[in-house]
Amino acid sequence: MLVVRPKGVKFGGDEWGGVSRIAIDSSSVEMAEEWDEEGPNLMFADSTRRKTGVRVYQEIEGDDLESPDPGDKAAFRVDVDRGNDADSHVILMSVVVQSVSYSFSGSRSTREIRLVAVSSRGDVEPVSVIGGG
Amino acid sequence: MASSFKGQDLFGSGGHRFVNRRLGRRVISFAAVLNDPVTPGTFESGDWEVWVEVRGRLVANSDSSLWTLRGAILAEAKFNVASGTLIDEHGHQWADMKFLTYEETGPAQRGRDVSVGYVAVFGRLTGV
Repeated sequence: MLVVRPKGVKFGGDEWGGVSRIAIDSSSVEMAEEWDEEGPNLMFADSTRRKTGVRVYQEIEGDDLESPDPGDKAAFRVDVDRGNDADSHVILMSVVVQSVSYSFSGSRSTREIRLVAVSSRGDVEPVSVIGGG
Repeated sequence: MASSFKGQDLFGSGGHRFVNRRLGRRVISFAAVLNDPVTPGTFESGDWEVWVEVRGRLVANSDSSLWTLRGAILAEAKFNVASGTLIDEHGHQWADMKFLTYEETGPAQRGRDVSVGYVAVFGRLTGV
């Protein structure tokens, strides 16, 4: 999932302003794979360990002295408001901070926060999308 | 064609392959037999028994279905269960084989399906 210019972003009780993009990436950490005796081609594959990573890009004006720490865990909420109910959503998940880093382009500073989404149980999807009509 | 043991398709839920264990002339050292490390030499003692491994993955749509697959396998791998013919997916046959052991290579993996890797060992035991 990709969200551009969300209306609001909250990490626990903290509002994160100036967020330009949020990328939610899903990937397999482990694949179960099997071949048979009939030939060389993979004939079974399953994603058996998955991880959902979130990258938050935040434009920073001035100093930033209060960033989250790696390991911090909180509820994460993204409000996507596109002016009509059909295209407006709320994205919810529980996340843990993986890293915080900064990059610069001219006079602009961007803070990149990497999060990982965690589920209450292994068979529960970590990301909920509510709304959309 | 599906592989089988005693006419049963035990491994067809997922991919699997057959591996011949060591075959040929069995050579034993006198040192081992006499328990004397300084005794030189070796002698022939028949051939290696025919042992075949089946390595693969059981695949089911639930944990209970996976246990059903395991149950059918384990029923053949018990003491005093009769030997039979093992046939691979290309029709090669090993007669008079006993299902010796079934061992899983790790925990069951859960994704779209529930699956688990395994090694099953069959042998033609000549001493019994």
